[in-house]
Order: sequence, then C-alpha cells, then structure tokens
Amino acid sequence: MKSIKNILKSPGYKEFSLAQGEQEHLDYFTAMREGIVNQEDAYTLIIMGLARKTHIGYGYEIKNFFKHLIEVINAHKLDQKIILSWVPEIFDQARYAGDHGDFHDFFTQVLTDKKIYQDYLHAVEPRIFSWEEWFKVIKAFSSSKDAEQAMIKQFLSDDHLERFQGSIYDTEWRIHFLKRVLEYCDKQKLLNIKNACWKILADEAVYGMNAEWLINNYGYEDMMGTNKDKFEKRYLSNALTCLTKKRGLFGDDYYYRKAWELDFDTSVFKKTRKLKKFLKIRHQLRETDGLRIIEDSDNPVEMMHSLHKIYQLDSGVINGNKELSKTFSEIPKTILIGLKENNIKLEADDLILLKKEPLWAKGIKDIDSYLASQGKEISLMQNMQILAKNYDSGFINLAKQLQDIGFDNFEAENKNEFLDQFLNADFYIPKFFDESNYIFSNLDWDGGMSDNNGDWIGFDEWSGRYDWEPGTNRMEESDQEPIDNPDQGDLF
Amino acid sequence: MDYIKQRKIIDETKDFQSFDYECHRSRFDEITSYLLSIPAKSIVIDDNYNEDKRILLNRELFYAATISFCFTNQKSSDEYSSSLLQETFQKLSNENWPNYVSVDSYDTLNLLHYYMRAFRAFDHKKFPFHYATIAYETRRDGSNEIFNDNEINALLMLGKDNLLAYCRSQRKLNPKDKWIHHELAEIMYQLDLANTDEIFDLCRGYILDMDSTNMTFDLARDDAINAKAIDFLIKSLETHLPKVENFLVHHMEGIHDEDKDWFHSRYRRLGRTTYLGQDQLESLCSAYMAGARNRNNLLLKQMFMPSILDDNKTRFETAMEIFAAQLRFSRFTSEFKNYSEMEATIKKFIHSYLNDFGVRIKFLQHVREQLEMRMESLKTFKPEDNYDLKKIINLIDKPIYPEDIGQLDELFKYMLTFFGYEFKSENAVKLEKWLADEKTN
Repeated sequence: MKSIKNILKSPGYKEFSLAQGEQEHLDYFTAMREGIVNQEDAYTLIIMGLARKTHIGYGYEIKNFFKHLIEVINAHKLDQKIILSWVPEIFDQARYAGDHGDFHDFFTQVLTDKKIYQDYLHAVEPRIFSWEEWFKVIKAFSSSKDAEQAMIKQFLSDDHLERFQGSIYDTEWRIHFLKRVLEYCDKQKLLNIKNACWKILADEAVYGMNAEWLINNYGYEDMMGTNKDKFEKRYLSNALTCLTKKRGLFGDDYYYRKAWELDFDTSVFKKTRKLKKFLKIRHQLRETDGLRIIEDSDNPVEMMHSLHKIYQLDSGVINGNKELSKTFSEIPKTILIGLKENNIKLEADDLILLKKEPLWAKGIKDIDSYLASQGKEISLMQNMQILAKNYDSGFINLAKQLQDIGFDNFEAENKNEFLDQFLNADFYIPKFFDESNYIFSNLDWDGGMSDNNGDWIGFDEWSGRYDWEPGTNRMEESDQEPIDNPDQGDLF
Repeated sequence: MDYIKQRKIIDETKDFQSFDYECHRSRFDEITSYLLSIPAKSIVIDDNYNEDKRILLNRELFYAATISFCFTNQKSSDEYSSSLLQETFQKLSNENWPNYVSVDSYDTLNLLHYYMRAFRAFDHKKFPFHYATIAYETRRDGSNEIFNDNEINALLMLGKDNLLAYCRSQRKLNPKDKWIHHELAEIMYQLDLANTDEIFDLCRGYILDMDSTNMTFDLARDDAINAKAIDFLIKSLETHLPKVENFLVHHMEGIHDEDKDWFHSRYRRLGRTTYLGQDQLESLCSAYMAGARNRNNLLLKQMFMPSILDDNKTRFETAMEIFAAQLRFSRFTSEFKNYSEMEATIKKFIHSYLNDFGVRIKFLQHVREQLEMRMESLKTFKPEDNYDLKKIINLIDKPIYPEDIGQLDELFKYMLTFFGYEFKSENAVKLEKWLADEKTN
C-alpha cells in the first residue's frame, strides 16, 4: 500500500480536495469507487475519504459519509491490521478535538477483531486529544490493569489533564471530569487511581477552582494516601510561585486576588518552613490589600462592604493591624458623617450589614436616630427595604403608612427617593422591586435556599424537577392550547 | 459542467494574474454561458442544504467571471461582455435562500459582495471595497464607508436598473432584516438609484431599533433624510414612545454617559460621527420633554388609583401584595411541604387575580403590548408565533413544572405593572435627567 503521505500528495487527492460539503464529496467518492480495480485502490480511496473528513464536518454528515467508507472496506475485505497501522497518522489530520471523536468512532466500527481493537486502543490512548474520547478509550480497555496503568501514567505526567485542553485556568471542568473518572474507578475497584491525582490537585488548588471540593468528597487522607507529602510540597511551591513570581501581564490586583483565593485548609499540613513562609506572604498580601482599600476608598459604604468581607474571611488580618482595626471599628461613625454631609445614601443591604455586625452595635444606634430625624417617610422606606430583603411581608403595612402620609406631603428630597424606589426603573424595574427580576429564576438551575438549620436545599432536588407530575385531584386543564381558544383568539 | 470542473475553475482563479487575455476571455465566456444556460430558478424558497450550496457555487463562479471581466475590460471594453455580465447578475440575483443559517455565509446580499470582492481582488488600490462594506462580521462598525468614483463606476457597470431591481427584490425577500435594509439604503443612496422617499422608507424601520443593534444612522449626513427622520420620530412619540426613547438614548449616551463614551469616541476619532448632534436633536427633544411632564403626572396618579379588583386598595398597595407573594413563594422550604403544595398555592394566587374572564383578556392585552414594545423594529406582532406570550398563557392555564419555575418572574412582572402600576422606563429616567442637565447648563 502507498504511504499516507504519498496518497495525500497525489493529483487525485488534490482534485478530491476541491469538493465542498458532503454531497460533492460523496459524488466524487462514488465515481472513484466504481473505478476500484484492486485492494490498493480501495486503501487509497479510504485514506482520501478519511483525510477529507475534517472538511466535511461533524455529526450526521460524517456518520453518513463514513458509512460509505465502511461499505468499501467490507466489500474489498481490507486487512484490519493495515487499517490499524494508519494510527496515528490519520489522527494527525484532525483540526479540532471533535475530529478525534469521529476518527475514534470510525476505527471502533471498522476494527471488529478484538485483539486488533485492543492494540488500536493502546496505540491511540496516548495520542487522542479530547478528554471525552480519551475516557471512552480508557473504558474500552478489556484489561482493567491496562486502564489503571494508562490513567496513572497520564495523571502523573507533567501536563496531566492540561493535555486535553491546555492550561485554561480559573475554569472548573478539569475537576468535574476528574470526579467522573474517579467515580468510574470506584465502581471498577481501581482504588489506587485517586492517590495518583495529587499532582493535578496541587495544581488545581492553586490555579483552578474546585480541588478542595473534590478532596473533601473523599477526605484528605484517603485521597492522598501515601502521597500526602508530595501534594503539600507541590501545593506550597505552586502557591509561593503564584504569589511571588513577577508576571509582566498581571498587575498587583492579581496577587491580592490570589492571596484571598489560596484558602486551602493548610491546618492539616506538616508544619514546615515552607508552610510558614507561604502563610506569612499570604498574610502580608491580604493586609496590604486591606490597607489599599482604605487608601483608595472615597466612599465609606463601599469600604464597609470590602473590609467586612475581609473580616469574615480572615479576621486576623483586621485584628492584627492597628490601622485596619481602627478604621473597621469606626465605620458606623464614618458613615454617619457621610450621611450628615449628604455625601452618601444607605441602601437596604448597607443597613442590614450595619445591623448584623456586633462590633458596630453602638454605632448603628446613632445612625438609626439620625435617619429617624430625616422625616418619617424616609425611615418607612428604609424599613420597607430591609423587610423586603428579609422576605418579610410586613412592608405592606409600612407602604400603607407611607401612602397615608401622602406623596404631596413628603419633603422635596424624600419625594425623589420615593420615585427612585417605587416608580423610576433602574435596570428594568424600580429599585424596591429589584429582586422581582430574578427571584424565581434564581431557583432554576442549581438554585436553592438554606433551611432553618442553615443547610442548603437545592430546588431541583426538593421539587423533583423532571420527575414531578401534577396531582390527579388538581383542577383538570383543557387539552386545547389556550391561544387557540376562539374566545381568546378574538383578543388578537 | 460538472461540479469538479466548476471547482477547478474557481480554484484556478487565485492564479488569475498569470493568465493572458485569451485565457480570461475564454474563462469569462465559459462561465457566463454555463451560468446563463442552467435552468432558470425563480425565487428559490427552499431551505434545502444542497440547493444552498448550489447557489453559493454559482456565486463563486460569478466571482471568477467578474475577475476575468475586469481583466478583459481593462484591455478593451466591449458592450457585449458588459451585457453578458449584467444578464448573469440579473439571473443569479433571483436565486435566494430564506434559510441562510445552513450556508457558509450569513450574508444574504452576497451576490453583490462577490462582485465587489472580485474587483478588489483584481486591483485593491483602485477598488478598495472596504471590508466594512462587504464582510458580515465587521460591516456594523463602518457601514458608512463611502465608495470612491472607481467603485461607483464598477458597480454601475451592472446597470442602474438592474441594481435598483436587485435592491428592491432583496428588500422584498427580507422584509424584517434591518441589517439588509441599512445596507440597501446606503447602496441606493450612494449610487443614486432611488429618490429620498424610497430611501427613507428603508430607514424608517431600523432607526427605531438602534439601541439593540449598535447600528449607526449613516444617512443622517443627508439633510433631506435627516429632516424626514426627525419628523418621523416626532410623530412616533405618540405611537412608539419606547422606541423613540431608545433612539434618543442611543444618540445621547455618547454625550452624557461616560461608560458608553468609548464606543462613540471611536467613531469621532475616525471622523465618522454618524450620530445626530445635540442641535439636530433639539426639536425632537423639545417635543419629547413637552409630553414628559404630563406622562409623569399620570404615572404617579396611577399609583394611588383604586386597584382593578378591589376599590378599597390602591394600585400601590396591590403591587406590594404581589411582590410580597412572590417573595414568599420563593422561600420554598420554609413555606411549603413539597412542590405540589407550592405549585397549587402559586396557581391559586394567580387565579385569584385572573379569575374574571374580562380581567384576564385585559391582562393578556397588557402582556402583548409590553412584548410589542420590546420587539425589534416595527414588525407586526403575531401572538400565535410569540413564544413569550405563549409561556405566560401556559403559566396561567397549565401546571407549572419545576423546570419552568424561572418563567414566573416574567408573569409576576406583568402582574405588578397591570394590577399594580406602570413604571417609568429606565430610558425615560435617563433622558429626562440628561435633558434637564442640558437645560441647566
């Protein structure tokens, strides 16, 4: 048989490659098929057809086109060993990840000899590009030992999961994929695989999104096995590099952001100098970030939210620094000055936060009395907002009180506030009703709420999503589409 | 001519500079005689994939023929070749696909674009035909490219009548496509194919939908069209207020909105201020503001009018009750035993408002009006085709399945504005603020 390289350089292939779309390719293929005189011609035509696959497309078109190729293979009884020898060159023709899947489907259909197919799997496993296809190959191994070895080899290689889509950081697909693989391994009793994931997890814990979530599914000790030290060493090296290495394209914000993101529970780590160094650098960056917020802020309300976030995540940062601690505790005082000078306005979320934080209990009383002195309507509006944020329908009664005062009797400034809250749309709807835009949408797709015990209840699971059926005793609905109802039709 | 032969001709075109006069001559003759000999297709209303491919193949052949025409015409122009080219253009311009998702190009006008591309390939200095004019991806960024004299002459070789017929047929074939109307108006204007009335008639639809497209009103550069536009917009204040507000916001945000300034300043830097300036908008703004005070008073008055269903409540109170219910329903774990109870309670609530058939009809009319305002341009509203309206009706009439729960936000929003009160639109708030600031300054 001619080499693939020579076939793809031939004038015949050049002519074939002028074809566009499935039909033209099929027309050409059919004409050439009629001219086949020996197996050599058949091999050549199949190679040409396979190479053109990437120009024809995906899905149904390709399945249909491959059907014709397979007919020729069967009609001319082509040797499966020769077809096997086309791996990996044919895969090199691929232009997109999806092409690998199509080629894999083709070889899976053609290589019906079990031994040859297993040889094919071994040949293609280290090369196949798409992670989905790679996993298909792994699952197709007849020997679980071979599958185990292939996975361990892949996971311990330097590019591990990056092989499939490159280093696209700040995405979570790798860990979701790894979870699927490990679930499969659990079922197959391939229990050593998860211990080989330490390298991936150490990289993901620093640059990815959800490594800790996966580790917690198994428990730290169980997940790492004897590789605990290796994981910790790699995690700390990654983390230190991430926080200290100068990167031309990134500004300081990158380091501050990472200093907050690197929150893997290191209390279980061996107490080493490296760990100490990491914690020190991280603390310094977090502290500087806090001081930076104070320095850059020209709005005490924004500063309150930013510092409170820090306080919640790592109270040691605030408590351990005099300036941060002083500024943080004096936030209600600063806000009161801003209110008096008419530089700021408090929204419901601001008031809720101020009232929530015990450190500010005294300061909020002064703010409350100041707000009460601003006219009854303002405090009614603010209380309405707070009640609405807390899903408390008590705001209906306050609305009546507001109405009883009468819009015409409001102070001029309070009139504007009323209009902004209840009449003037801001992002499609007035501020007061803001939540109305997405209140139910938030339940959809992984939404939910915490119950009285603080446990998260997903709406999908609670409602039964696709399994729910209306009860039989509910009011029966007409089968007729309401839009076709003649009475209603007159409407339009 | 089989498709391999056609593909070969197209493929060889990339080497056109190495061909001599005779070669171009014979290629031109071969292609045009083939294209003119194939059975005439009347307007193709067929979304068949292969039919689409055939149309594209013919256009690529037309491109190859045009390049050869450029070459021979440069040596010596002859009327016979010109008329053959015109005839071919006329014939191919009747081939159109309604479903252009399945073909390589999303550009419905591309027969003319193939023609322009051929001239550019032949001599891009003389016939630059800017990418912004002929490439779908970038056209929106600079559709106000002005043709140079060579480009105009090249286009006019197709014949004014042919071009006008082409433009009119494209408009007829694509009655809802504002992008095509935008481009057709520009071609008709620059090639002087039609009078101002006909050109402005094309602008009428798309100038009311600028906010959602980032489309520019390039033809505002013509005083007569500009004056017609302002008249039209003033008249539309009564019939299409939200769309006129869109138009005004789209123009004024470049002046008043710092966040959007990057977009407008880019055009200013390029010297292509295709937006109307403050002075040009003055009469429209005055007319807008004259109605604004009255509208605002009515909106405020409506808030405290008695509710539709209960004389003892105001619309303001009703809006509060609807919002409170919405908030309550979303607390599913603390409010309900299971989804069946939740669904039954929501249905009961909805029906308590929409039980009366007359009220229900008025409510659906309200939904329809709101949806109409959101619609692109000035299309005719067809309720039976409107998925959003169907969704609302289904939520009222059919069981609410958990996977449809998110759609309730929309229904509650309509209930808020129908049983409660209408809100002042975001655009109206912005415009009034900007115009009041202008007055102060």
